[in-house]
Formats: sequence, C-alpha cells, structure tokens
Amino acid sequence: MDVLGYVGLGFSVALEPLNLLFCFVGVLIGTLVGVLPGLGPVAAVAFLLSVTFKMAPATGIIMLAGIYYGAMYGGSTTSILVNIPGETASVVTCLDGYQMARQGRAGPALGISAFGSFIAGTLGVVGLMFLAPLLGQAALKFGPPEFFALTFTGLTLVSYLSQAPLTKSLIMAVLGLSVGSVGMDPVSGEERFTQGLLTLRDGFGLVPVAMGMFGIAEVLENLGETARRNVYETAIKGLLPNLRDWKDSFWPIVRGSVMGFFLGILPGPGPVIASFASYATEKRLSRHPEKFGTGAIEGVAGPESANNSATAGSFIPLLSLGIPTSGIMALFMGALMIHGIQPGPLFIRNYPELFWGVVASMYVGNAMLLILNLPLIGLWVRVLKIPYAILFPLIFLFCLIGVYSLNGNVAEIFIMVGFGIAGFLLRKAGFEGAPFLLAMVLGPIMESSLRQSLIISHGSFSIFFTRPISGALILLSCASLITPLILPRKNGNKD
Amino acid sequence: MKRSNIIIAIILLGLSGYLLIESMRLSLGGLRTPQAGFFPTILSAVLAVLSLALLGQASKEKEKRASPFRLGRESWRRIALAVGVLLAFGFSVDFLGYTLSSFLLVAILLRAIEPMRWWLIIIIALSTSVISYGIFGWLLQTPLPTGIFGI
Repeated sequence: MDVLGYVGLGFSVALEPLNLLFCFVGVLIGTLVGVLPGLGPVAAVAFLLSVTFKMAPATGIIMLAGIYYGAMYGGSTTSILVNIPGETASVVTCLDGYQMARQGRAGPALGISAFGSFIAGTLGVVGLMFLAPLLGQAALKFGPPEFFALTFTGLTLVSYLSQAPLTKSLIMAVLGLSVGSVGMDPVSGEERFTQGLLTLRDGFGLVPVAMGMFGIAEVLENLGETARRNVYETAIKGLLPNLRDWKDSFWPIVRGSVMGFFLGILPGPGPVIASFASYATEKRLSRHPEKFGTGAIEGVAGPESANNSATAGSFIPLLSLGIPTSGIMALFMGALMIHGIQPGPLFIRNYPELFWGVVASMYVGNAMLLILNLPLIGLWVRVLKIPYAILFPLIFLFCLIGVYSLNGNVAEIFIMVGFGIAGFLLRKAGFEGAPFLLAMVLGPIMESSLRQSLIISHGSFSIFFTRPISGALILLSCASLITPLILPRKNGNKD
Repeated sequence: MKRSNIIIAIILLGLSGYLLIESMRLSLGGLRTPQAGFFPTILSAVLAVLSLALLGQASKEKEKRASPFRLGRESWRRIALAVGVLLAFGFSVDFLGYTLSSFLLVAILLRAIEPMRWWLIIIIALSTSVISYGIFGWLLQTPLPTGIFGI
C-alpha cells in the first residue's frame, strides 16, 4: 500500500463516529487544561489513562493525543488574556500577546494564535506521516547497544535541556531509574526493593506516580501561593486577523512550524524550546526588533505555531523507535503498552490502522480546535474566572478516581499522595519532574538493553563505542554532560 | 536555597547508601552475565556521586534568597490540610463508599481553604459527587467502592 492508501486507511479509522467523538472529547479536555493554570496535560493524560482501558487502542490514543495538542491551543488563551501561561510552552506568548490585549487587540492575537496553531499542527502531522515510517525502517537495524545509547542520550539531553540546574536534573533522572527498577527483575523474576509488599511486586504504577508528581504536586504548590489572577476585562471582538496581520504572520508561522517540528523530535521539552527558539528567531530576523515585547503579532504567531508542530514531532521517536522523549510521551508509551502494544520499529508495520488512524485524527482534531478556540473564546474566558478554591477539590477528586479506578487498590492512592508530597518538596527546591518520569519509563528498556549488550560483548563496554550509531549517540550525551562544566550554564545558576 | 540544597543532598546520600545495601543483597552477576542487582548498584553509585556534587555546589553557594520553603503559616496550613484530606479519603473510601467519601472530601476542602456559605458548599459537593459517579461509575463503568451504606 502506498502513502495515499495509508492516509485513506487512517481517515477511515479517524472518521468512525466513536473515534470522532473521543477526538472531540480529547481536544475539549486539552483546551480546558491548557486554559486552566495549575493543571497540565501530563496530569490530564495520566488521569484519563485508566479510562482508555476499556476503549479500542486507536480510540484511546486518539483521545489522549487530542488532550496533548489541545492543551497547546488552550495555553495561549491565558497567556494573552491573563498574562499567565496555561502551559510552559505558552510562556513566551505572554510577552506580545498580553500587550496586544492591552492595546485592544486581544481578538487578532487569539485569532492568529489559533490559525497559526492550526496551520503548524497540520504541517507537523504531514511531517510525522513521512518521517516516522522512514525512521522506523532505519531502526529495524538497531540492536541492544543502539537502544541503550538512545535511552541514555534521551535522558542526558532531557536533563541538559531542563530549566533546573544539570546536577539536579541528573539526580531526578537517576531517582526515576531507581523507582523504575522496583519490582520483579524482567529477566530473572527476582524481587527488588519491594519490602515484601504485594502492590510493589509489579513496580510503581506509572499513573499514580505521574498523577502525584504532576497533578497533586502542582495543586499543593498553587495552594502555597497567594497571588490571584485577574482576567483582562474587555470585549473580545474581531477574532479574524486583518490582511496586514496575515502578512506579518505568514513567514513566522512557516518558520515556526518547520523549526518546531524538528525541535519536537529531539529529547526534552520540545514545545517549550520550540516556542522560545521561534521567538528569538523572529526577533532577530525582524526589521523592527524593538517592537517585540510591545505587542508584535509575529511574537505570537511564530511561537504558537512552533509549539504546536513540536507536539507532532515529539511523537516520532516514540512511534518509530519506541523511545519516549518527554514525560508526556512516556505516558503515551504506557497507554500503548497497557493494550499490549509495544511501540518501536515494528509498530507502524504491525499496527497500520492505529498509526495512520491517530495521524489522521490529528488533522481532524486540529480542525475541531480551530472551531473550539475561535467561537468559544467567551466560554474559555468564563472558565478562567472559576475561583481556584472551587477548582482544586475537583482536580483532587479526579486524580483520586483516576488512580483508584486502575486496579481498585487503595494503596495506589497512598503512592500517589506520597509522590505528590515528594514532588511538591522537590519542585520547591528547584528540581523538575520531567526527567524523573521519563527515566522511570525508560529504566526497564535501558537496563535490559545494557545487560543484553554486555552479554553480547562478553562484558566489554567497548560495544557502545565501536558501533557507529551508538558511538555517535554516546558521544552526544558526553558532550551534553561536559559542556556545562566548560561553558557557563545557559540560564545561569538558578540556585 | 543553600540550606535546603545541603539537606536534600544529605538525604539523597543516605538514599544512595540504602540503595547500595539493598542492591548488594540481590544477585549481582558479573560484567559478562549481569544479574538483578547489577543495574541498581550502578544507579546507587551514580546517585552518591551526584549527591556529593550537589553538596559541594551547595556549600560553595552564597545565601542570596530566602528559602523556597518559607511560605507562611497560612500556606502551610492549607497544604497540610489538603494532604490530610487526601489521606483520609484513602483510608475511608472502601468503608464509606465513593459517593459519601467524595462528598466529604469536596465539602471539607471547600469549607477549610476559602470559607463559603454552607448551602453553596453542600450544593457543589453533592453535585460533584453525583455527577462524577454518573460519569465514571455509570457511564464509563469504572468499579467504584460502595462501602457499608451501599452508595
């Protein structure tokens, strides 16, 4: 079957009534969590993971993907109207988006952000469609040393690119690997660190840990803050950007889409880096860089496009190599594995309906988001006005249902609360959760590929350096670990 | 931040020691045939090195900012209360059932964090409990505990 045939197959899956419904539910929830500061897509995906158990795999993944890219759309609304980013990927949108709102141009800012996101999201999906199968083909030649090198590089790059100092990020990665090694040894079946507890025999569940570290910890952090948010009180009109706005935004959207897509493939918080990189590029290329920060539409169009195409790019390593590159991709991997599906080089060949169905649903979802974001902007503004005192008990309740409904096991509630407290304290001390979650999921792959490689090489570590792909990847990891020691830290020492 | 980093580094160092002891109890194997304890032993060693690095960095730092844990009594009260209510939910849900436990969870948190009128609290808590049961228990067929009252 050629690409067009597969696209047709994908649309036949995506346009099934049930998949359409759950695609809509996904983008709706995604927009909601994007709009609401204090609840991110990681917690939302973790929470709804248990709901997907009873769904067909394609339906479940379509919904979860909708939450992820939907959150990128929703995040811009709060950046523009409240000057508080709903998502980290929308931080940079505050700079010009909020200024536009203050000048009475909230409508065009929201409009260009939605249109830019739509165009970029669609271009990103096209890229995913062509690049993922190619990479999957290449990855068929990968052996254990390459997989070890890939996971090792993923973790070091995520740590290097995180907002926290490198030492702290690496500590989180090692803690994640340690938590991931709890339970039965995948090879010998020997129990590790379980302390005789039955609940831990299969290891710590991904959902309770993710909900604790990202859902509960985030709410506890918000409870500790006293600042209140004020929604920008003005009538939002004229959502359609005018001709001048389009002229100014065209190239930033194109550049943001391409840049975002490729940055999304790399390990790390792709959408966040993409939005900052796009803003910096547009400012540098602009004939009026002094207008940036005072309400330049290019400063909204570029980053908003970049963060959306990055979401599509970030699916590539997971679907074609079986390696998640961020916390949220780790959850997608968990969602696939719950259904007995192993993402990796054979994924696209073995599950064409699932891969192409999810890809096609992203086109459909992007169109739905355009409809949701423009006419319903008034509704999202009203959602923003819900007091946090009412919101947080509901978030808690959803986390509790999400965890309990997995196995009907109360012990998992305590695990979630425990990781929530730990996550809150670590956040306060300047540690980040993403390397931890990613390491927890990558741990078993990393361990088994390390052990297999050593068995193949009769105990010699040279196997990782003598094979070209693993050698290059290990070299890249070493560079990312050594660079901060030689050069000053990119964002200064945050401590 | 300096003090908190030092404390965290010491805790992590202790944790790496614990990991090492536990890993040594497992079968280690050798480089040619690594066993269950091999990977955790490496992790404990790396964690120890990183903890020492954090300790070294922290001891060189100058105390520039107030501790991030200095939140104020009211903030800590809210956080402690929220954690307490979550744990209480965990202990009571099998006994009281989902509907009653969730009603109490929402009502207590609404009342304690930002006091509002009782009738409003009851309406919000009751509707949350009933609607969430409708969505998860009834629509999505999620098995939720019914407790001694059968609700």
